[in-house]
Amino acid sequence: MISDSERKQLNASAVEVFGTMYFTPVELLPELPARDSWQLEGQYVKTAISYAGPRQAGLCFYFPRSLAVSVAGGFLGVEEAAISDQQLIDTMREAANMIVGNFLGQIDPVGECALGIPVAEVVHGFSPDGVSQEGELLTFISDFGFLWMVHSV
Amino acid sequence: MAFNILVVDDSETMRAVIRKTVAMSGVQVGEFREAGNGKEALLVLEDAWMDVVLTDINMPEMGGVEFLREVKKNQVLRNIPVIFISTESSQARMDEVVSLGAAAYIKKPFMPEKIKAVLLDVLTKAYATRMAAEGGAPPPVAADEADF
Repeated sequence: MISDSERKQLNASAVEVFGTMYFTPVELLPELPARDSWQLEGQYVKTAISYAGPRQAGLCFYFPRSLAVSVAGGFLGVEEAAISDQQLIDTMREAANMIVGNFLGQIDPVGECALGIPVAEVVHGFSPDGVSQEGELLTFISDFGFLWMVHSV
Repeated sequence: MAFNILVVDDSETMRAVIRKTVAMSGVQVGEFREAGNGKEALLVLEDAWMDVVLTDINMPEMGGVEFLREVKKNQVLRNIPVIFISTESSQARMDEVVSLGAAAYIKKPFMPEKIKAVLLDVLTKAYATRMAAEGGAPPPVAADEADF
């Protein structure tokens, strides 16, 4: 289970990345939101990245497509309607890379762990119940709905 | 004097953003080349002279640290300044690349102003070196040209 200090560090990393690079506020919720507020339909950009070494973990993000479109549009300076799935994938891979790389810099200041290469795909729908066995489910709130993340060790 | 710039990152999106940032910085760019990893970057360097390289660390095939080692082993390429732009923010990693001969290290996420400042600093030093060899050329950027 992710510790309180790691939660804070992960939140700080996500806030910094989304704030600095994408001008989009996000915040890690202290606990899972009420089930009746879940909006799980639609597409997500599923992005997985891991780190290994003395400490190891996998983090899998489920970015709502609307969030990914807004971020990619602003980042690339292109009309949102013109953004391709590949651009969404590429942008969110980079976002996950930055969040976890920044997080790793905090929990592993000596640099003993190696960050993996992120892998992303566009998926239809998302089920928190379906991934809860894979690890601990965390939720970020954004202007575009919930950003889900599974933390597994 | 225009500078040839190579950006090495496995993210096409990030390469595009860095390209835009460099264009906005006011630096006079001659040729702008891109590579998706260290191996591709070495091929670019075999093909064309680059005045500065901006590279990520964490890339498939060949990462930025291995790329830097290869550059430093090459008598022709070893003086090309290599700037790292990476998510890997541990002090140990930064110390490692600086000890290997990196010209600078920029942490992601970054503000465009940071890239501009570092690039101008590194290019000014490279310009001084080239001036010593060639003489008579304008500086890397005009004072009122930067667009931030």
